[in-house]
Amino acid sequence: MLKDNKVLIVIPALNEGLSIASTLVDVLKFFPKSSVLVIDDGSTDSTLDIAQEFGVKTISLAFNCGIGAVLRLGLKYGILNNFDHIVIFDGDGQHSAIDINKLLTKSDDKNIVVGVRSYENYKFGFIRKVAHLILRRLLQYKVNLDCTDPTSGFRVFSKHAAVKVSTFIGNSYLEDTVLLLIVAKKLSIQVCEVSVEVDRRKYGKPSTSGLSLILRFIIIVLMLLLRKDRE
Amino acid sequence: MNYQLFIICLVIVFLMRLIYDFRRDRITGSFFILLTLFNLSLIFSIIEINKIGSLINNFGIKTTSNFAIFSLSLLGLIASYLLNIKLKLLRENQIKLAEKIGLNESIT
Repeated sequence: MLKDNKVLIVIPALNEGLSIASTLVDVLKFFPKSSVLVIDDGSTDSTLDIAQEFGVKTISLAFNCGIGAVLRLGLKYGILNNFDHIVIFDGDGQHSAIDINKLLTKSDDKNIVVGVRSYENYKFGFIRKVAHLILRRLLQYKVNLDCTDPTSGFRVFSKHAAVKVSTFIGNSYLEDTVLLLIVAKKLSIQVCEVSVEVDRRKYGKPSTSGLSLILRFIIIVLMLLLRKDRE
Repeated sequence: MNYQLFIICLVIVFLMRLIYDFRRDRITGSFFILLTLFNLSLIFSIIEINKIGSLINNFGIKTTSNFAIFSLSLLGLIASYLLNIKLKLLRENQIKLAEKIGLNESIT
């Protein structure tokens, strides 16, 4: 088991006022000695105030910068403060904090571990399933990486991996997950998978949905097909 | 060289440039797609197609309506493309600044 003080748990949050408290209770129950960092991505509700009541470290962005920017900031904070493992844990309460241990067990000093949401315990819609399949196949085609759940945001970055990938993360939705996997593979960082439990979101709304989600998906597919990956 | 050939060459150059910039992540797709759709739908739905030719003829330029619409669409497309590059740059600078402030505040 890894020492708690070497682990940073980053919780990105955008208007999660209704779920951030239960997420923090869950995380602090299993990791009372770990450092927890809540990054508020320009919420307009009480997300930041609630997080501050728990006495955890918070960073508030002046406006909504996007999940990629939040991830980059979380990784930079972890690198600057010399953490060995940086956990990215959604603030929407979909994951259980007990699964962080599963990911940490598989995390070594050089890799990235992805928490895979299984189709059995999480009912993906048909369109989402197809989108996942397309992204998965494109990842295989582009960099020969078979990732079962390329859009999962529940991940553990080793310090080594965080240093290498943090400067390559784009700002928008899916750039922080799918394109990041391509970058990791190109930089010879090992990507591991661990199956995790997942619940449907009880409160709040996803940061990207509807038409913008479809547009993002089209753009990511085009990027995967056309883009010259940055070296 | 006639006008049609010139415009076709312009379109080809523009499309090549678009792919070049997209591959290097210089443009954000969503803004660009939305602006392009808006621009094209505006031109094709609001303006009465047949009147464009005669309108332009009034200015002493002899051209057909279709050619005029095509040119206007292309101009709109180029304008939205240039605007997109500016927007992307502006947004990236804003985000970098917000990140820096956030990180500095976490240290102090």
